[in-house]
Amino acid sequence: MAELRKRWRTGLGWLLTFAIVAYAVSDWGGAGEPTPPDAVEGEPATGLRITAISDADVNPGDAVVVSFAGADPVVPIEATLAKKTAEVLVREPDSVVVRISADVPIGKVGLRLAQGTKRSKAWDLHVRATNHRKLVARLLGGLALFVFGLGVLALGSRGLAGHRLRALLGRLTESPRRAVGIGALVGAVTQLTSSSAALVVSLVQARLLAVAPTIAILVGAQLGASITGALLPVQLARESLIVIAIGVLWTRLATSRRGGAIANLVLGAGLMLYGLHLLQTSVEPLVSDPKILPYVGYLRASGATAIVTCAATGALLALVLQGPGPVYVLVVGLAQTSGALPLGNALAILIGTNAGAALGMAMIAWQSGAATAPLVRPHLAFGAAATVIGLATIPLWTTLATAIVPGAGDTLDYGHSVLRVTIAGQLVVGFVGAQLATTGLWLAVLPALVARAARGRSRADTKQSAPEAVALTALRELGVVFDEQRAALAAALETSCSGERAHLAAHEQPLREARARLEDRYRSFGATATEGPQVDRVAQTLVASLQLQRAIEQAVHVAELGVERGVRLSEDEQARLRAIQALARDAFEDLISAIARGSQPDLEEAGAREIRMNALEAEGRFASTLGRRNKRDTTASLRLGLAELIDSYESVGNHLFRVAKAMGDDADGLA
Amino acid sequence: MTYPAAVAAAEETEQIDARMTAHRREAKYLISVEQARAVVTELNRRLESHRHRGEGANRLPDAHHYVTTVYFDTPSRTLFRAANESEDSHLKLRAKEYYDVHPGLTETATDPRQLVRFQPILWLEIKSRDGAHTGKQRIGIAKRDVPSFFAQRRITQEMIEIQEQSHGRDARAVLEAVAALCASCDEPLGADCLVNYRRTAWQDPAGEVRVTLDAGLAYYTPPEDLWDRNWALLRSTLGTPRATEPRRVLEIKTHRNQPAWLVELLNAQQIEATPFSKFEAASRAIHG
Repeated sequence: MAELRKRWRTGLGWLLTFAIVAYAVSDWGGAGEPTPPDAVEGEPATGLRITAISDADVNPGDAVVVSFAGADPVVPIEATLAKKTAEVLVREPDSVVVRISADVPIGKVGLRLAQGTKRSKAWDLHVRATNHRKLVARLLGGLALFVFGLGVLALGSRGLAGHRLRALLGRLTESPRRAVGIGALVGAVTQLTSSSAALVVSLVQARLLAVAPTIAILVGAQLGASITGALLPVQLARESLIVIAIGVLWTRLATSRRGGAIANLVLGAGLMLYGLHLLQTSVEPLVSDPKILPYVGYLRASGATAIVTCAATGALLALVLQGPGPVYVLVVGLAQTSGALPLGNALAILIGTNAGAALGMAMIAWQSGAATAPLVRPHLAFGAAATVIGLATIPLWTTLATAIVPGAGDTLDYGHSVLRVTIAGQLVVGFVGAQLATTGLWLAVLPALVARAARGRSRADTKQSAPEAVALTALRELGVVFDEQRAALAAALETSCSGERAHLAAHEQPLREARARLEDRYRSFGATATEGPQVDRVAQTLVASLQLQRAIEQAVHVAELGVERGVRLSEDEQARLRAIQALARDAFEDLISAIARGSQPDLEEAGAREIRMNALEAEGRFASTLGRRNKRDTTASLRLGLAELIDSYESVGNHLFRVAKAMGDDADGLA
Repeated sequence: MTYPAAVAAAEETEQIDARMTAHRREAKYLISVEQARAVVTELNRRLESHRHRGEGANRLPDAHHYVTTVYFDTPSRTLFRAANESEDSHLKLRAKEYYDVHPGLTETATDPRQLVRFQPILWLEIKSRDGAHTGKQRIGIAKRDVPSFFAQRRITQEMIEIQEQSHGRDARAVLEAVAALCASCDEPLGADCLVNYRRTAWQDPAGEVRVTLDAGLAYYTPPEDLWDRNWALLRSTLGTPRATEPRRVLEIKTHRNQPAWLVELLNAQQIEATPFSKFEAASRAIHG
């Protein structure tokens, strides 16, 4: 039955996906295209006529594609807008691209084409004033969507490869080069350098990763995050809403952990691309504004000062936006739409992100305590070196980029705005080349840095109690897991009471993440050689927490089954389940708070709670039997659903108590 | 083991227990949690875990043994002052209730009482101390008889006479001691303070050494319905403790000198004997 339902959901998912894609690629006959104007009275009828225009509602600074007929293919075509000459950007045999000049009057204006003495009839355009408020909102919203999309993408990546990646980290980082490669993978998966740093630093704290290879991993992570941002398929930005639709569809219909992770990948990519699209369409009108233009001018000037200013801007942006990825998108948007940013200056901004990202990562390592403090200096040194070397070699990268992607940045694409598409490719080549080269150079000094850090670490190790550090880190992570388990159980209750599965949708992936975390941590514990009573206690707690995770997953599953079976809970049954849920919530809070305080849960209170839960469950079973005698809910399926619901809560209660017992301090060893 | 042999073994155990309870050397230590862990590890290696095996004893495994002690004193704290003035020579009157908690039953219990095993008996004890030697006389009184015995929270001569008729010679000896104690006080004796703790005990087969470790000491004001309760004086039903003792109380009871391994253990853990009285600590916590 469950398998059949799974197949049905998957089939429906694919059907809807094909429908969306088919709709997106179909030509629906140009609905909404402007139609040719009626003949204007008194205008001479000549052979030259406008047949279509890409958009009749325009802003100053926009570009429109004007299709025409009846023109001489050899003679140049001119355009006039409100009786003033308008710039023709490109001439094709049967179309031209015309820029709407910045000083065009607001309102209805006529666009004409002329070829010698031949003139077309006027085509009315509606010119609207640029709404700066709206543009800024688009800019900020686009940036926010991009960053949020990065997070969703990273969630999907981790769902697919995250736990394997963590397991690999400890094993495959013996040589600095390999560590850089693994780090690049981490950066590519986590996307933001701050996320990479947080992940790697947590592993160092847990002593699953030594400090020495971590220096190399952080360098690799910075490289990975930079390059992935640069390789984003920006040309898909216009279709991003379709990608988002498919991503959302599969987050709802995916039936496996892997499917859910892929759905998040698609959704994340779609959100990033849509954010990019918003950025592209808002940057140009903003930067061409006379009030803002002087500031942009600082970034496009030539000379060493301008290059340093650009690099400093990149560093600041990378620090604020937590990595080079979002900065890359901003720079591409600015360079593509405004023409205000030469290739060299754009590269300087991107190269400056090395310093900002390194500073951000170093701050995370520094804040995380003594165990990770040795990472700070080498990584700051890398950031500084990568920035200086990159800036010094900008002429090399611009030459290489224009050689590989020819066109000097003047190949155009037209939408609402004119896009300089070539510069995007040149930036990719220049930035990726600079990053690879600086990282390659850094590899030469890396072994010396790694060896030095290893010596420092060995001295530090003698001061710190290893088993305690391992146990502490594991417990901290458990706090996050318990928090998600608590939320998922609350959502399961709401689902059971309301009959709405939507409550659980937001918890599916985090719950899977919680399981992956627990399994990773348990495996890591098996791999560590540390011993001691505290480590034993944490190992027992991990086992109990895995069992609790299973119980929570079962409760979620039973809640979903209940909805499918049409189980409707009476007010009494709801009240009873809410009372049990409240006790479970208190138990979770006690565990989380004990972890936060570094103490043990109150075992007496935990036992008392468990007994109260048992009593409520027994009461629920008894009431359920009475209900049957009263023939209230008659079908066996409904009875079974209710019984399973009660069983699932009993199991959760039992395992919560076992976790508390495992965490409880048997200080005297009396057991 | 045949039934008569089992009975004989149980009787022998009781005799050994009784011998241990009577006159012995007693040394007391206040130790930290870390010291307790080391001591417990060694005691588990050297001695057998000890639990009450007499008639009606709880024989279920994995029991946590708890004790609630009711200490008696006069309104003007005559016994406390006497104990406070002379560490080496004083008397204490107390009633002890033993109960076991089985945390392993928690997952199936629907009422906290289902975890508890206890006999409704209060052990009335007079404990005397003379230098390093301590002596203890005690008698078990059915808890249902206690309300009349301690009506108005006082021991009267009339009550002593009634109990003597029920419990014979042993009762007579204890009650005579109680009566003597009562007579020595100008004011009536009543429940003054309560102490609850978890006790773990070890003993050698010959009954030469018994070691107890008391953890989680908590001091309480006697509840109003103390003698009306028909259930064990559980820690969770005594209200908020007036004070708690984070350290553990280690007591070593021997007939002769402490065995060498034990002396070595104490030295290794730098554990030194400390004068400590649960009664005095509780009385101070309640009355200041």
